[in-house]
Amino acid sequence: MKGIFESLEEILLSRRDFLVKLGWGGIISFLIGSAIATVKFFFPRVLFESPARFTVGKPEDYSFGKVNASYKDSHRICVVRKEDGSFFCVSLICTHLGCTANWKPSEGIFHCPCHGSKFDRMGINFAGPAPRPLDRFKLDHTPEGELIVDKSVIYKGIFGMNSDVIYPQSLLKV
Amino acid sequence: MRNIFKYITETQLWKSIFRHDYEDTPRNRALQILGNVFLHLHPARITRLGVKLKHTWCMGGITFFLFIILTVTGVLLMFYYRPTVADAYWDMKDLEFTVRFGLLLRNIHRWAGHLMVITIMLHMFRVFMTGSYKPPREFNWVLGVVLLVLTLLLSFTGYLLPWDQLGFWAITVGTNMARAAPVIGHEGPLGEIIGTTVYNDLRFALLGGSQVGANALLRAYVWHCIGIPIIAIVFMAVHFWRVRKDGGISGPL
Repeated sequence: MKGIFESLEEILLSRRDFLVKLGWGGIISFLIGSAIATVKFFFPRVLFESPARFTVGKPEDYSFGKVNASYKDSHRICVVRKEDGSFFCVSLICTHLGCTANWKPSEGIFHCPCHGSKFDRMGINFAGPAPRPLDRFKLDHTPEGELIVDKSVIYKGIFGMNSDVIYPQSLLKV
Repeated sequence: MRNIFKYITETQLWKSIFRHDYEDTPRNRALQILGNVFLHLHPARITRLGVKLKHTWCMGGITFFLFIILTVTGVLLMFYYRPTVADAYWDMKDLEFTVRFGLLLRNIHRWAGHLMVITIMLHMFRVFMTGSYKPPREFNWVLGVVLLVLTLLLSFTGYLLPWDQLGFWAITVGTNMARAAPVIGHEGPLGEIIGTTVYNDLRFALLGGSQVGANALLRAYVWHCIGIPIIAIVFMAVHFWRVRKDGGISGPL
C-alpha cells in the first residue's frame, strides 16, 4: 500500500519542474503583458482635435434655400437651410475615401476633388465613385437660440435613400 | 615607395586591424572577405553565374545600395526638418531654397525612394524568371515579400512628411482603407458587432486620432525614420544571410 506522500509525488511536480514552469511562466506572462501594453500605448487617451459640439450662429443668419459653407475649413461641414426654412447639417467627408467635398455654388453640387464624386444639394450621390450619400450630423439649438452641431450623432447616408425621409430627426425646424 | 608600404603594413597598429597578408593567394583572398565585417556577408567563393550581370541584373544589390543612400540622405534631412504642423511644410521649403545643397539632397532622397520600389520589382521579376524562388530558396522569397511591403510602407509614411495637400490627402485616403479591415476596422466585416468605432480601430492607432493631424504627422515621422528602417534592417540581414546559406546567389544547385 502506497503512503499518501508517495501518491502525491506522482501528481505533484518535482521541485525542479515547478521552478522551471514558474520561471518560464513568468517570462511568458511578462512578454504577453508587454505586448498588450505596447498595443494599448498606440491608442491616445486625450485628443487635441476640434470638439464634436460647436455652435454655428443664429438661424436668422441663414437665408432660405442656401448652402452655407463657411464652416468647411474648421469643421468639414455645411449647414443647409431648405426652401421651407428647416435646417440640416451635412458632413463634407466624402463617402468614397474621406476627402473633403467642396460646395460649388454655381453648379449647386458638392464636388470631391480627390476622385470626382458629385452630390446634389441634399447630399445624395449622383456621379463618381462615392457609394452612398453624404452623412448628416445632429443639429439642435441652444437655450440662447444658437444653432449647435453635434458630430457625435451621425445619420449615416444609405445608398438610394433620401436622408430627409429615413432620418426626419436630422431636420431642424425653427 | 615600396619600403614605406612595407613599413606601414608591418606596424603593430596595421596588423591589429588587418589580420591577413597581401600576397595574392586563395587563402588571403578568402581571409580578406571573412575578416571584414562589411564584407563578411559576401561568400568567400561564388559561382561563375553569380558575377554575371546578365544573369543577376544586380537588382538586389542596387536596392540595398539605394537603401544606404536613403539612410544617409534621410539622416541629413532630419537635421533641418521638424515634424510639427506649424513647421513641417516650411522646413521642407527651407530645405529646398535656403539650405546649402538642400534641394539636391531632398531630390536624391525622393528619387532614390522611387527607384528603390522599381528596382525591387525588377529584382523580383529576375528572381521569378530564373526560378530562384524554388526550394530550398522558397523562404527567402517570403522574406523578400516582407521587405517589399516594408519598402512600400516607407514610401507611404514618407509621403505625409512634406505636409502638403498631396501628401495630406494621400494619407487620408490611404488610412481610410484601414477602416474596412475586418474586425479591427470600424467599417469592416464584424467591426460594428465587436464594437469598433472611429476612436478605437486600426486607423485610430495608425493616425493617433480620428483624423490626419499633428499626431499622424509625428507617427509617420517616427515610423519612417526609426521604426520601419530598424525592422527592414533585421529582415535584410536575414535575407542576405539566407542567399548564402540556401546555395549562393541564384545559380543552379
